[in-house]
Amino acid sequence: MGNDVVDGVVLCRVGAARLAVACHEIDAIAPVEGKSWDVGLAFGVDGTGEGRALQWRGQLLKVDSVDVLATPGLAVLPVPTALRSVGDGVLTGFIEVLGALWPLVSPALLLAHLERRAE
Amino acid sequence: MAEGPRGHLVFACGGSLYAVPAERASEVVNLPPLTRVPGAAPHLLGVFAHRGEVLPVIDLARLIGKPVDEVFKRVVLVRVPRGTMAFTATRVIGVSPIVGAPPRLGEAGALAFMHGPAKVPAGDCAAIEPEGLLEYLSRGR
Repeated sequence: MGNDVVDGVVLCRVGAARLAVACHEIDAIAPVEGKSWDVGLAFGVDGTGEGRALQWRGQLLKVDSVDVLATPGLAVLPVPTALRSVGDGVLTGFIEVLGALWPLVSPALLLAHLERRAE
Repeated sequence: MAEGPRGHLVFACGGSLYAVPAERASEVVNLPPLTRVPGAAPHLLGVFAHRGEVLPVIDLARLIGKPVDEVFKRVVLVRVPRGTMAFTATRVIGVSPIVGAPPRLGEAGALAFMHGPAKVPAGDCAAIEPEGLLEYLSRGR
């Protein structure tokens, strides 16, 4: 994965935490309506306000705020060996944008992780 | 054949001393702002980018279940063939020889990859087996 790139990401904030999802991996950015999964659970933080949701296969992943970064060819830094199983393997890499490091996650694995935590 | 002394970098964390083989300790750096990782256990404080690489910061005290009430300002970067880890440190003591092979501090968990008590001039320390500890952490512990 050392030379991987991603074309466009959705940058999400949850409390003081942040994460990124590849644009092509989500269906839509939607208002939070009905049942949603609070991404803050994965960080052990409470979200604030109404927030926004990433829609993936009919499921809503709630975060505090989102920004779309449409930059093509963003370099993806590989997941360190020590983190390969963290959060049920939710990490797919890291990107460095806006002067910060962002964990890049798979929405499918993030949802599976949140479901497991909720059990 | 008896093992000769091996140079270890000794550092303090959470009121205890730890040591890593000197040839595995690549740098000591000031702890920068960290990026939190979703789903991480409490001992994984976050990550930071260093020389184009993402490094996980491991709090050794939390890893072995010790209470932590210290603010860490530095990390010891430990590089093994499979990857690099950054261990929190409140103080770096220096390089000291450790003679022989002290027993494992535990049969399971992270303590299975720490040996001690190892005698160094600063006191008793736990000598970390970094390859094994990285393997243990990579299994999601």
